[in-house]
Amino acid sequence: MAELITITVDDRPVHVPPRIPLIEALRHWAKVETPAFCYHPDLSVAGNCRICLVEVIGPRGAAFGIACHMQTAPGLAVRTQVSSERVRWARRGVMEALLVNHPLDCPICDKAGECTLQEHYMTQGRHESRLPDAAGKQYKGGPDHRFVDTKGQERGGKRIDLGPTIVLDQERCIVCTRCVRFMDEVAKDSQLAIAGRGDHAYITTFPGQPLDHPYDLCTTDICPVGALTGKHFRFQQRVWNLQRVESIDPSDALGANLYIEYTPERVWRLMPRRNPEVNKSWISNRTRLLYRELAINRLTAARLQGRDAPLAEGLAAARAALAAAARVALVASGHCTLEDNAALLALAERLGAKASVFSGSWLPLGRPDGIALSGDPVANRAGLRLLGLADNLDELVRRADEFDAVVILHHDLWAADPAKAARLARIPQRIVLAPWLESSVRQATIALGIRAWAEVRGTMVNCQQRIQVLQACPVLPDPELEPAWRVLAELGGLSWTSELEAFRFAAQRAPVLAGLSYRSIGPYGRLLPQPAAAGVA
Amino acid sequence: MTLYGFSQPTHWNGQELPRIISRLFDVPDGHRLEVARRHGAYATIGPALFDRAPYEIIHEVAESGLRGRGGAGFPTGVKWGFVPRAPGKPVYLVINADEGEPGTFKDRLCLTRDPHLLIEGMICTGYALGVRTAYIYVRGEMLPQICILNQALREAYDAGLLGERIAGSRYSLDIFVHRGAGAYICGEETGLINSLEGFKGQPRLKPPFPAVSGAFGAPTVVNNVETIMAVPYIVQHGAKAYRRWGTEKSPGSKLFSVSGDIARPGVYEVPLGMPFMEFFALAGGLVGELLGCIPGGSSAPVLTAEETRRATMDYESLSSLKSMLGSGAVTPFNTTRDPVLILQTLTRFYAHESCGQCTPCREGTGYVDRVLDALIDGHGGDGDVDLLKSLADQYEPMTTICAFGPGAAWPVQSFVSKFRPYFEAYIAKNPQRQRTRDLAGVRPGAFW
Amino acid sequence: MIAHHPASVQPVDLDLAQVRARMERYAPQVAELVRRYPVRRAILLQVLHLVQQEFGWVPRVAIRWAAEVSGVSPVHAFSVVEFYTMYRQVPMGRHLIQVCHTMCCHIQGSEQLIAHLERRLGIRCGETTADGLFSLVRVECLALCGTGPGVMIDDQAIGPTPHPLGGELREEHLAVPNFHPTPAVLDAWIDFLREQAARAPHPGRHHEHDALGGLIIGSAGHPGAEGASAQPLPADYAPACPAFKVAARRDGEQAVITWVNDPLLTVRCTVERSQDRGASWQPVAEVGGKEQRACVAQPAGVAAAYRIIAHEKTRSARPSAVVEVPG
Repeated sequence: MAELITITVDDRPVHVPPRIPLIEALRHWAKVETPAFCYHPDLSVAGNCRICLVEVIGPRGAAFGIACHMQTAPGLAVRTQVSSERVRWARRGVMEALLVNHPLDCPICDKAGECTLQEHYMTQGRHESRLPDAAGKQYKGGPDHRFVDTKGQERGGKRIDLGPTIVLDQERCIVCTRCVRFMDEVAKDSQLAIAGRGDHAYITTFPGQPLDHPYDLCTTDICPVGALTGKHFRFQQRVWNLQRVESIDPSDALGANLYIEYTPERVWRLMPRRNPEVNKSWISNRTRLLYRELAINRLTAARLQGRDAPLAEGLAAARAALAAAARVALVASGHCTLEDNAALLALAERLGAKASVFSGSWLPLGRPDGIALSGDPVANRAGLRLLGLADNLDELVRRADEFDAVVILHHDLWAADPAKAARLARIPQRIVLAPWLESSVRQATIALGIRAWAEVRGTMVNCQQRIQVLQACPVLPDPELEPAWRVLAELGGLSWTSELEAFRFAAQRAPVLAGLSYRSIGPYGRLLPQPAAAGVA
Repeated sequence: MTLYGFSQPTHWNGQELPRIISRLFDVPDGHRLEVARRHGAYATIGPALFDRAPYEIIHEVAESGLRGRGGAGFPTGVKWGFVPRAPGKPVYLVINADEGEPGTFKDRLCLTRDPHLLIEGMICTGYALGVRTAYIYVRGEMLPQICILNQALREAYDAGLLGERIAGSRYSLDIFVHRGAGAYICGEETGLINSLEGFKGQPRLKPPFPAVSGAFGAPTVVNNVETIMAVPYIVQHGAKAYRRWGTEKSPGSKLFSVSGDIARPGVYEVPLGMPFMEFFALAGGLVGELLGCIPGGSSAPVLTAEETRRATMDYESLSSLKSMLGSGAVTPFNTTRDPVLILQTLTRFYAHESCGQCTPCREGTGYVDRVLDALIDGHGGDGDVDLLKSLADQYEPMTTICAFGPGAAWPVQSFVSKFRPYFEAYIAKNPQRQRTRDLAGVRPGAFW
Repeated sequence: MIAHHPASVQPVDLDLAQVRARMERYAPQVAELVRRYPVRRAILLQVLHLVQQEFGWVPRVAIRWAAEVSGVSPVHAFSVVEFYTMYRQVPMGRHLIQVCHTMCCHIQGSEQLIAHLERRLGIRCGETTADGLFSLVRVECLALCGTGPGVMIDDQAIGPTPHPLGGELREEHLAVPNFHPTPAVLDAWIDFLREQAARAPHPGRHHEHDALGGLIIGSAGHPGAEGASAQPLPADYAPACPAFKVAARRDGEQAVITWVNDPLLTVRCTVERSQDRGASWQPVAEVGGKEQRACVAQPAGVAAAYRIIAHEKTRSARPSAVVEVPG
């Protein structure tokens, strides 16, 4: 890290890195809470909301400046709301201006509870309205969407169907241009703009054209008010009822960081979790909507020859099948955590010489989009490599006749490549562990339900060789379901009680993991040495 | 000789009046090259300019004390000095002819009467700054002036005064006219640059300043028409000659647009430092009894009659009265006028012209306008005058990107404080003027 | 009141291909505009003026065309159209009457004039007469304060005598003593334009004036722009900056020489002395480009002349003027 410099905040010296936005220095180094609407760490600075203004003390006295546009430099001296009545006064004025034409419909607004405007109103701007009734409000909205409500009041744009994923409420917009900048700078597809000027300015797409982009739901996250809301979550749940755990995108090898937000009944949404090194603040719509699969099409018990059975019965059958088999193939899965795959390896170890481990995937590789997807659908591919597993699924196909039984860990093989997978049907006993009723389950002689990615605690290694932690969300489709590592451990007769034991086993196979713990990996993951230098077992 | 139909005498009160910018204003067909040349146009384009180093020109202009005539009054030579020399990037000169400040109409006349003086000034300036391509950003509504400019440019090109290797020198300059499309904020230099680049005319965050990174990311100087028209005189006759007029801190002459309650509205070129009352006499005298005067375009805080009688037309005198010279638009109004209605036209103007970027100005200008409209419509309540003042205070102290916010606040603050009884009279007419809520004071936490 | 619903007035029979075909005749102008700016998007405002010249207003499908030509996204072009007041997004009457209602014009009676026009035309501001001949709008300052109230019909401020619009634009209001658009003047204009319209049917195009005011076609353009022939300025287009305003005085046993040079470009300056009336010069001091001042020993009783040579990075300027310091 660069040398720290000293700036003065509220008459006290603060050590900060040079040339970072002052607002970051205030928030993270000076620990002065600084509000912002237009500022976003992953977007360019627009400097239009003016709520972050502070007093800069210069040679000619104190003047207002905005913290997001100023950069830290030696000798910079500022006063914030902590010590300056003028800053408090000016911010109150900005809040008043923001609210004067805002509909203030928080009770029916979907953003309430996580609305930046509402938060700053509560912390900084609580005051009585000074707006004389006769003056009235100028609601925001384009001429195409304006209407006169039942009270005869001219209103702006409400409930505008903006595209496949988003509903727009122009009235609530505070013209911060975050969504415009997101589309221009991150999505690189300019579809939104502020039209009009003065207090008639409003947010819009080209009239009649939908907002449609694989990342457009990110605009609903960064919208500081309830103007842009996602159709998938709109009016589903009040956000203050939600709890959340940290996890990552299980469908892509970048492993975009996210939160799983849930109530005890179900998972309601996935939200991006900012990780400047991985996905910044963005996740793709596809990732975001993964939560919808968690409650549908699940394999919640065992299946024996297509017949539903309790899990215990399935386990017993699988144990018997493995004992009977002379040669067993085990297929590790890049869709599962390191812990699950470690358990598979432990099982192989227990089975001894009759077991062979295979891994790999037949899913096609895509191209990285430069935002939050690497294009590789196998999330833990690097983790498998770390465990010393080769990409040799095709070899299994070639040698299918050698085996009496195969254990397939969460792989949709028959969907990925039906022709190759068909040869696996020659193996008489096909034991499949899967969270969903996927094609492998239909082809299995014994299928065992396991927990899905959101429900397990574990680690994955992404394409940058960064190990990241998934935390378990306690919402289960069936309370009987166990994580894959536990099912595999039981098959192998191991008495593992926690995923930590599985992780420790993985560390035996991959020494780079030695000494790591979930806590030491931390919320942003931890970069492991690149494979060339890594000591692969 | 006619200026808006009226003559400007050569002498007034025994003092010679300058004709630096308005030299050809009353010459028939002065906008034609041959006529202009007969009257000495393009005298500087030759050894007088090209044998001197660019910095000598910059220094000369700095010495002359010429200040920007668009409104802010920033010293022109200092502004030019900020431009990196030989930066390896193009340098742009953009002429601000987006005249839109209410009360100002001098640039319209300049472009109509003497486009060649502007072109000559642009060549001098361009040479001094190393400009290869210059643009004239003309307000969209001034289409006739665009025609005149294009015609003048064509004549200048044909005469070898523009284009490659001007007058046999190694210097080349191309000038293009850019038509605006109706937005007052494009008169702000970074707004103008954005508009030139094909964006909405919203001012940019500073720093970086245009002199370092302006149009198309390159160093750019934006100057008002009148400023550049003064440059050939300074190049030709020197800073000392220019300083013959005006005061120590406000040297030279300035065009003043006078309208309102005056006998002969029009554009007059007078030396800076002339007393307002003397100037009114020059413009045919006031009509009626003076009530107040807006001394420098609509943004300038209004002066009362008494202040007007004390004031002189220069930067220092007006700033000591907490007003400003601005664009030199003088608007006196008499006692038959209602200052409240005059202010209403201004709040409406600012609400209409706010670019919609910064919160305080975007929402505040409309807020003030609606409060004032309600007051005039007879719905004013006790405390509304303080409310107006307080709202204007909120966007006055540079809480915004550009100076539009303060410019919109000054008229409100000054009208309300100097003509308060007129506002109170409107409120007194409203029988329901007493409000239960205390609207004047912001009380934090009162909601709870 | 909701002023207009642009969505509802969009022509249903106009598609992008038709707009392209209609705008084809502006190809020389567009090519010229592209030449003039280093980036293509800068032509957007000008291109939109051409659209308005062709259609009389800016239909949305034509905004798409403008975006296409300027290489920007349609929504950007739309936001630009919404930002600037001159682009009309609903069809206008054949003649657009704009009346300024800001400060100076208000003082000069714009409200009375607007009231008169509304009565006379039978419409309110923002509306178009039933015969499609006149649209009346209020606007903010037109820079016509001296001849207020400011009134523009189509693209020009009106003078006292009506004349046919189109062709050359005239600025008669500037030349006529004490001219102000009175109700009588406006009436004369309206009558005249009505009469004109009765005699000549609608010309098909709304704007009879060239929207870019006689754009000069065939310029050299901006160096490096598409189709431009202009060359960048050579770095040495002008003489190197010499030291100028040289002055010298004696300070005891020293001569103090001051001058001015370009502090940004000058790397160093050489001070030269001559004691034989300029026949030969010897360097006596070297100072940095920013110093602009030198002291050299000059014993009392010895007269000398000095001059400065300023050096830029790659070249040196001609010697400065010579100053003499007496003995």
